[in-house]
Amino acid sequence: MGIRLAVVCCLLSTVLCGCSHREEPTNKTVLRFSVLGAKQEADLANALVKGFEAKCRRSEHLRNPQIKINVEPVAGMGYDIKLVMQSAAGTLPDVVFLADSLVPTFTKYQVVRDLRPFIRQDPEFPINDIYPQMMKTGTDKKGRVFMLPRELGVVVMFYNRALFRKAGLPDPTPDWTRKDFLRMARKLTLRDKDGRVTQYGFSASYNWCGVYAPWVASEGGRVVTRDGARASFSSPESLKGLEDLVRLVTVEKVAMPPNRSITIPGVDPFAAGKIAMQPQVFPQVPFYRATMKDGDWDVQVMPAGTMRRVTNMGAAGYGMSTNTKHPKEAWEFLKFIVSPEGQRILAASGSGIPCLKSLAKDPCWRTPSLHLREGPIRLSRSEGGHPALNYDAFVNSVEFGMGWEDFLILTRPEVSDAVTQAFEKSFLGTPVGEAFREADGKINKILAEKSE
Amino acid sequence: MSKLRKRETIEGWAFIAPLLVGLVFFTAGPVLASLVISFCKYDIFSAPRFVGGRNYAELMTDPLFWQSLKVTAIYSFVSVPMGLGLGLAVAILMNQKVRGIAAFRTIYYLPAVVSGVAVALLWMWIFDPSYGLGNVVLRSLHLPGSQWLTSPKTSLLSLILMSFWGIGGGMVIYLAGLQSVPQHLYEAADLDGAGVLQKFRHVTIPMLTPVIFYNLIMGIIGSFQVFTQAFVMTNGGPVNSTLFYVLYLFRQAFNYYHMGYASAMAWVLFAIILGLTLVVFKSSAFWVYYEGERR
Repeated sequence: MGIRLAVVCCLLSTVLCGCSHREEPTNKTVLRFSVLGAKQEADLANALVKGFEAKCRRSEHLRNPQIKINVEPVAGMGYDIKLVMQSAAGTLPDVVFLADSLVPTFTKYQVVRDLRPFIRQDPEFPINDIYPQMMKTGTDKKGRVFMLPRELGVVVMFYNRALFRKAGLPDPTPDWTRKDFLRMARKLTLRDKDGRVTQYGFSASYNWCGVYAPWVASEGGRVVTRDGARASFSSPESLKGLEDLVRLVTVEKVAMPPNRSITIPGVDPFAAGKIAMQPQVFPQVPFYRATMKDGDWDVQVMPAGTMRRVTNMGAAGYGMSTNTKHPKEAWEFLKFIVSPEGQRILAASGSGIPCLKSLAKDPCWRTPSLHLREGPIRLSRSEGGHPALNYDAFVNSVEFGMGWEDFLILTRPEVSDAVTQAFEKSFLGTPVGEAFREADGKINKILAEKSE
Repeated sequence: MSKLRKRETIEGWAFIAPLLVGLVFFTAGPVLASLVISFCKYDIFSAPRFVGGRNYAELMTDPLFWQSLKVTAIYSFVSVPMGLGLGLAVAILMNQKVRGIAAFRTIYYLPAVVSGVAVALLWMWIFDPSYGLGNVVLRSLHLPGSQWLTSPKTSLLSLILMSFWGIGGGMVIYLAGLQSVPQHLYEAADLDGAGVLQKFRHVTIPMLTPVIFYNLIMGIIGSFQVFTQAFVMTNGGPVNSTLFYVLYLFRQAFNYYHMGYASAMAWVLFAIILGLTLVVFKSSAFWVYYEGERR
């Protein structure tokens, strides 16, 4: 009996010790910072935290109490699911990573708080220096700011210069049009003696709103009505742009069909030199620097459609959770991330272009040696120095970026799935009008249900 | 109750208490909760809102629900019988007294223990229309290549074909069954002048019916819960041709946050699998023979 009692007491005390709460020193504020689990994201987060903590040590008003930030990477898929669960449990970290596509969900459920009071009261916040289009990616229809963008996200056309030269084509110019693009794509699409395509002129994730929405807009259409409340894929102007895009695959056959590959599975076809042009974003630059050893590729603004030149803009960023107990400290960290110092840390990681207009020409993000942390860059054979990149294409594209309010409903998973299915049907032979009329019906039904 | 008996009862309950607590909190509790949630509108953030049978009614008018059920049913009714037959055929081959047969048995069983995601990625390579091994083999036989997973006409068939990769699991159970068939039955059949096929039909198959019954039940339950292959390889496409039931349920729950609707789907799936299992159990009286059973 005595031994049994002793065993039970030992077990209980072990369990209770595990439940004990360790008191933090009173002169230290600890913030939790949630980010994606990818190595690049975690590295960037740690670099930002290091920079901020160093700044706090130098600053009179941030030195005491000391601010310590713990980075919490969320590995694997389901970052948004984890945040949703944490919000339901009231255990959200103080500062959270957000992507523009997550903002509508998190704002609807008040996972992150409105930052406008902090912005208004803080004269140090560079509100006039941040690209307004980027601020909009974290702002809802009522003007509430839920996410501070950490970068300038803009879609440009990546193209393989070596393939262009082989085809006897000049590089695309900043004033190139969709007609120029089609002419180039036809020349850049090669077939073997059996008629099988060995190189495509173009490829894209067609169901990514960053591709189809600007394509449609450049033909004068809108995939979403002006009030953002209804889908309008099947309007005559929108269909013109969608048919133009689908025809590249089904009629012109210069664009790689979706779910097909032209290389060994797992190998990026653009990196393998099998795709001559594809719309992409700046974070892909380090990857292509590392995998395309010749470095003979570059970027250009998107080609202009019949009506105008349009491109997609979007951003990732950070927000402050609604249940943080340290809003002032969290705000100081968020402000640091978008400050010139924080943006230089972002640029040095190669993760993105600074979101500040004042850094548009700054070498902090334009110097190729920063893009490879693993080792020196392989230089192109034709050039004696670092392979240059047409960095201006990224900042010049801001001029014709689409407003983020046009994308809000397109980021919803049910809407995105409906669009994906419409594209799939179109590529398989269903008339584009029929496929997208059905998509409009599905999307509007989803939106009507949500407004109950 | 004597003092000793009482103490033993308390100690018995104390020993199984951790298991019971786990069962209540991690199994029975969530199951009951999902039943309740299936009658509610619930998106995790807001409190569940009771809506009666609305989720179930919406299921009946949801075209994707019927599509997912159709895809899963076709997959199940084709892959399960064919898998049973192939598993038995391979088990019969592995039941031969041949040198090195243990190595062959291992080779056939190995695919069944490889992780589902790894298998899915491997078969994505095999099914690649341009570079995949599947079309390389077809072309070497002067046959036209297939679109495999990229065409709605061939995508589900491709996944059914892929399911035969895992017949090793059933094969092992059939093997055990084959080796437990009493030899005297074969000897008696020999004495009666039965040929190989007659022995197979009148001795082997009847004696294997309990094993076939077990594999059939497990096959039905497993085939109705297929998820990994569709999630990794096709995401339900192209054009929902591989939209399996559990994949659609997952999408409703974790992409769209329709927890109530997804819970209703889960209970409908439970009812379908239970119904099919009961049908097979009831039918077993007519075709399953247990050794020593009187008929």
